[in-house]
Amino acid sequence: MKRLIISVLILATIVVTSIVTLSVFDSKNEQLISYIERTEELYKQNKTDLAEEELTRLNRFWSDYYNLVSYIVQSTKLEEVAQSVSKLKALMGKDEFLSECESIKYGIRLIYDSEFPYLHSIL
Amino acid sequence: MLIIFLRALILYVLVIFSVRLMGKRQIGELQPSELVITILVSNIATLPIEDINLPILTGIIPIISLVCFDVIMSAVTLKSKKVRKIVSGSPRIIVINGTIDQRAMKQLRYSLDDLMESLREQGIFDVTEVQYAIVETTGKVSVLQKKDYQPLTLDITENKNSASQNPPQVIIDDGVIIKKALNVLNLNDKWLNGILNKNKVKAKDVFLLSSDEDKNYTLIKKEY
Repeated sequence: MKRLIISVLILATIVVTSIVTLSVFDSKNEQLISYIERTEELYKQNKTDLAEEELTRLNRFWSDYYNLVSYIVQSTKLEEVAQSVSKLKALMGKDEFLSECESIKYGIRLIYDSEFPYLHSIL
Repeated sequence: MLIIFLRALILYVLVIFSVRLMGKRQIGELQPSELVITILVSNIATLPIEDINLPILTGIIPIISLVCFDVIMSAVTLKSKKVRKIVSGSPRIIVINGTIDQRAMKQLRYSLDDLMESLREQGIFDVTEVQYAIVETTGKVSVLQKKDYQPLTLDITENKNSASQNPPQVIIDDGVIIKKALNVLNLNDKWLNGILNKNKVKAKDVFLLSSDEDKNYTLIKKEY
């Protein structure tokens, strides 16, 4: 009976933790996307100094995000996005900057989708 | 390298904990479901050790989940005989009174070589010496020799007039009456009620009631 109770508690903990993790992951994704969109916006308005400041904030946020997400996501998937994030500063003023921003947004959405239990991901 | 070492250490502790959670039954004979869990756990544990790109949680979560499912399933099978039959199967008699049940052997995909090997392992070289041979759910063969071939014991000498050749049958299993066993032993409800009244107990409060053809019975009341 003791084992049964422990097992049920462990399973319940796993389910609750998974749901909480997924919602934290989702909110962190939204935050990251909003950082990228603000940077893009400032860049399009030619406010390069402000865009650079925003980019610094984005990089700081990214390192926290990376540490958190690496607990649940395969590191190779994250590395690809991390490489794109690290390129952003160097790409400022070049045509590829905006496309790199888009690819980061697409990458993190893809990572979230790969963790969300859609029927097609389960099957 | 240090990462792999630490991951191996974490998963080692986890697997030990998992085996302990599964209980002592795991160490002895494996039921089909336990065999599946053991194979799966050993396979899953190696993946995050070898591949450091995988988060260790991808190993920990499935191992813990599988073991918890197994513990819950064990509790369910303990309560329900039907579920136990589905999950673990049921023992099959393959030899009765020296005669091999070929249909049962075929259904179990059990060859004559397998049977003879199992008999030889128990020191029996002639199938006609066997009163009962039963393939257990673990795949092991349990054999009861005919009385004439059994080693001499004090019990046999004192009960030499006992006609019963067959092993006792379980009549009440954890409060559930097994009618089939009563029929096999040519006993009836009247006899069963007499036994229950004599022991001042209801069928649902009996953990085990077994009897042989000579109506020698064993009754164990439920304690929990």
